[in-house]
Amino acid sequence: MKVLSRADELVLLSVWRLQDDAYGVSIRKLIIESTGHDWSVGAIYDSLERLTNGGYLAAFQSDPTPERGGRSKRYFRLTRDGLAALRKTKDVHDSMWIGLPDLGFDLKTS
Amino acid sequence: MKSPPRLARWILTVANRQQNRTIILGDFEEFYHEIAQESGAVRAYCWYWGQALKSIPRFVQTTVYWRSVMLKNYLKMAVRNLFKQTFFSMVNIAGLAVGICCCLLILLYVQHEMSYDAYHTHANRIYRLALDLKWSGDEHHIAGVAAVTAEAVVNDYPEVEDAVRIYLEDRTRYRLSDGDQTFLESHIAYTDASFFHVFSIPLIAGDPKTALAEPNSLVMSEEMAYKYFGEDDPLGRTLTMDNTTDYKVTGVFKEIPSNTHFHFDFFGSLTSLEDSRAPWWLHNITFRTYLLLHENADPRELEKKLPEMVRKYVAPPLEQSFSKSWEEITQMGMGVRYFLQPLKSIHLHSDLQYELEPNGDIKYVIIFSSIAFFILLIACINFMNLSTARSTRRAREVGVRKAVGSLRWQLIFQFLAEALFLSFLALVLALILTSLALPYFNDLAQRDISLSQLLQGMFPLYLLGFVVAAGVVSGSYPAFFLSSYRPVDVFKGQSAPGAKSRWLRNGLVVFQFFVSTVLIIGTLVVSRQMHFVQNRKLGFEKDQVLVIHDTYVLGAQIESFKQALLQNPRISSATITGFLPVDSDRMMDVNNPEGIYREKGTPMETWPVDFDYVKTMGMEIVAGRDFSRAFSTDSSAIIVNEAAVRQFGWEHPIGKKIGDWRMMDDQRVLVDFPVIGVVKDFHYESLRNYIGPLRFFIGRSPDLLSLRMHAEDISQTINWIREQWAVFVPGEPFDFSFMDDRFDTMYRSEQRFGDIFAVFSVLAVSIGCLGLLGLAAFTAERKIKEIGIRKVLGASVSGIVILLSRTFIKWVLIANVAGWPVAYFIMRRWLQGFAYRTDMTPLTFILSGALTFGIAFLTVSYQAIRAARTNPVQSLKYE
Repeated sequence: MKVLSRADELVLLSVWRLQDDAYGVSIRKLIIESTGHDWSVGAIYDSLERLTNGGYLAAFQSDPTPERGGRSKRYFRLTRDGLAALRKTKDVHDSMWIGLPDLGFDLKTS
Repeated sequence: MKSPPRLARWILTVANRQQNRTIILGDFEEFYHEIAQESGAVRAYCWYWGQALKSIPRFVQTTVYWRSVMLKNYLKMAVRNLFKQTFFSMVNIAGLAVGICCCLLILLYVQHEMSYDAYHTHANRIYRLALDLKWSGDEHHIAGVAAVTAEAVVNDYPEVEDAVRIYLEDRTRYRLSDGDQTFLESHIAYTDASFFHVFSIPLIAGDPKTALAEPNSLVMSEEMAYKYFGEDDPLGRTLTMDNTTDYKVTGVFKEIPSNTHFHFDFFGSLTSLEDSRAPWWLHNITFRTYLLLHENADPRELEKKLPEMVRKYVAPPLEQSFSKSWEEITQMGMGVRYFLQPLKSIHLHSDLQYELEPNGDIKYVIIFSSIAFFILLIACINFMNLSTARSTRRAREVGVRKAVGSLRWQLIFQFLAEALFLSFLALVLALILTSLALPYFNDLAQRDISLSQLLQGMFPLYLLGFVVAAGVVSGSYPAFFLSSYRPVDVFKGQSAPGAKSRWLRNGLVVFQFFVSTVLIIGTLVVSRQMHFVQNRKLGFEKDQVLVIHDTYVLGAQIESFKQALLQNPRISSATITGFLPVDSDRMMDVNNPEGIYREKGTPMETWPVDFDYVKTMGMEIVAGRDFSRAFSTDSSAIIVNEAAVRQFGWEHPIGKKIGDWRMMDDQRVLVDFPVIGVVKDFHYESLRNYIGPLRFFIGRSPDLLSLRMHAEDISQTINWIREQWAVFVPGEPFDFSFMDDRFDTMYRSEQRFGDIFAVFSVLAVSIGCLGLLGLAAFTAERKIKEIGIRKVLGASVSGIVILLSRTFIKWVLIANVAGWPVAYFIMRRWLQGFAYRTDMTPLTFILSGALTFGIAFLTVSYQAIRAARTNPVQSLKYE
């Protein structure tokens, strides 16, 4: 299982975090809030699409709601693979970080 | 709350269609509202549009790219199918191409017919003034009025802006000379100076306002100007007419367009003629008078006012001469009514006496249009038939396409596109065929249609619409039919899908042959009638009569010229008169014969002839005797025809008197002439008309000299006559015709009708046969194994041929039987146009049946025999 890209990781994390309310709009909002800079619609959706096709996310439709011009929402939920991928990515991150705490962030690198 | 911009939303919808991501739109909308709340509607609007613009590449891809990929695939399939079954494809395309070609030709013809006189700038405001005359039960509808009428109409009715008269003299030939050379001209008319104002015929030299104002002015066509003067400037030159009158050339016009209801090479100024100033209202009513109305004048209102004109001008002189009031005169059966004919309707809708030229007929336009329609229909039916018949071969393709995920509408689109592709190929072929066939068609229809008309105005659009329609009509059945296959059935290999459509196919074959049968019967009836016309006992002998034209130039020498010709033993008799029982001079006169018409008078043909007329024409005297020089009183005697005797109710015609009003010392006197003989009825007009009452009297009419000759060495005799002519009138052109040729020209339009009918029925039958050929080949192919097995089991070739042809032949016969009554009714109506006609015998119908049957049988059996003769080893080797 390969390591997720940063964007994919963020998307998966948001989906997990949002639980039952994970759909395009809320996911993008959460990511924008937590990263602090603007993410284009395309960036989020491409990655959602990719993750769904890869089996990390499962998509399902809600009933149509009037405030969205009568369209349904497409909700996402983390699959087992998705969770595994997240865990794996976290493990990789952790292993990379281990042994580095002494260096601290105030280390002068050059 | 406001919803996002429509167009942008649509772009997003389309761009996202491919991966079923329309739900995203909902998300977009939510973002939109959110931004609208936070930063205002304008920001949201811009953002939304920004999203839409970003998706444009995707939008283009989904709308164009994928479609073009599929289109390319469809095209590839179409081309492959085309070559896979070359024979079928060729039959298909050729049939359709011939159909379209017929249709194009007829469409061109119809367009040309409809375009008559439409090119005049004022076409919609020009009306011809025509006249209905009634006199003692006899009605005349006349295309002209008297000379004075035009002026009176312009003066009395403010609606009329201008009027122009066109006048032809009582002869057809003029001798024009520019001093050096003399030509015979026949297309000369006289007209008013306003001619070029009313009609849009441009002058290329001379002033249109004044060209025809002066007496003895002449305007000529460019071609004629070249003929007389070559490259020289014709203006101001002089032409001498009949060695007597000089005309000054004051203008040159471009040739009159072929779609005009008159064609002349020369226009003389009408003021040159004394006749143009005649003050009488019912005398010489052959001035064709055209009125140009003001922009907003209502022709119907004007027409309603015209009876006033009758009361004001026509009635008073009649009241005076009859010494009765106009009311009493009308009660006696006199009726005078003026009416207007819109210029553009003259060519197709007017059939009056004294038309300037024989007009077209809306009936023929309708008949030909329907023939074109039916031929195209037959061609489309072929296409449908062949495509559905072949459909089984493509069932697998449809199955695979459907299994892979093709939607039904996509399949329909594919088959329609294929049909369109084929019909465009057919169109290209048809255009080539049309350009090749147009000269022959022009010849046949006696029209001057150019191929460039195809590009004029809306025609290319029509053409396109027409081909698309043909493609869609012929492709729709196979399209809907094929696309309805269920892949499961196809792959299980059961239920031959063609079986269901057999009824339709047979029905279509019946229809094709039904149309063919009607056309064949039509052709047979027309040709029978023509045969009847040409071989009917006409009451005179039209063969071996030579007619010398323009003998009036001989002047007083005419009698000695005749005597000189009679010296030749090959010439048996000769007669001098312009009145022949073929196309020639005519004179109607109102006479008062003894009996029921004594008081009122009745119109009858009145022909001045000489003593040798009856003999030369080969007519027969059934009572009394012929004119004879032995009786001095014969110069005032009369011979009538049998029709006159019948109409006047005479039991003993000899010695009866016919009265004629003459002016003597300013007094109207009824002069009586005795009848000395009765001539057997002869046809002096086309067989469309009944023979009316007619009388001969001894009179002078020097226009023509007719000679009855012996059959041998005709050309030598003519040369001899030419020499004699040159002795009598040196330098005068010698011109002649044969009476039987003149006779034939009277039936030219019928002959043409018959020819066109024949051509198109041949085409219809051959297109129908192409289809049959294709179907037969197809059946033979499908039954190839059955034939193989039958042959192995001992079937004979003839047995198999019968087996294969039986069904087709049955349908052709049914079509025949269905076609008979329809053809009968249509052709009976056509024949009713003739006063003298053949009747339709059962033989005609049986013949047409045999013909279609024979052709169909030949077509089918060719395929059948081929199939029956194949070695069964060939067809069964895979079993």
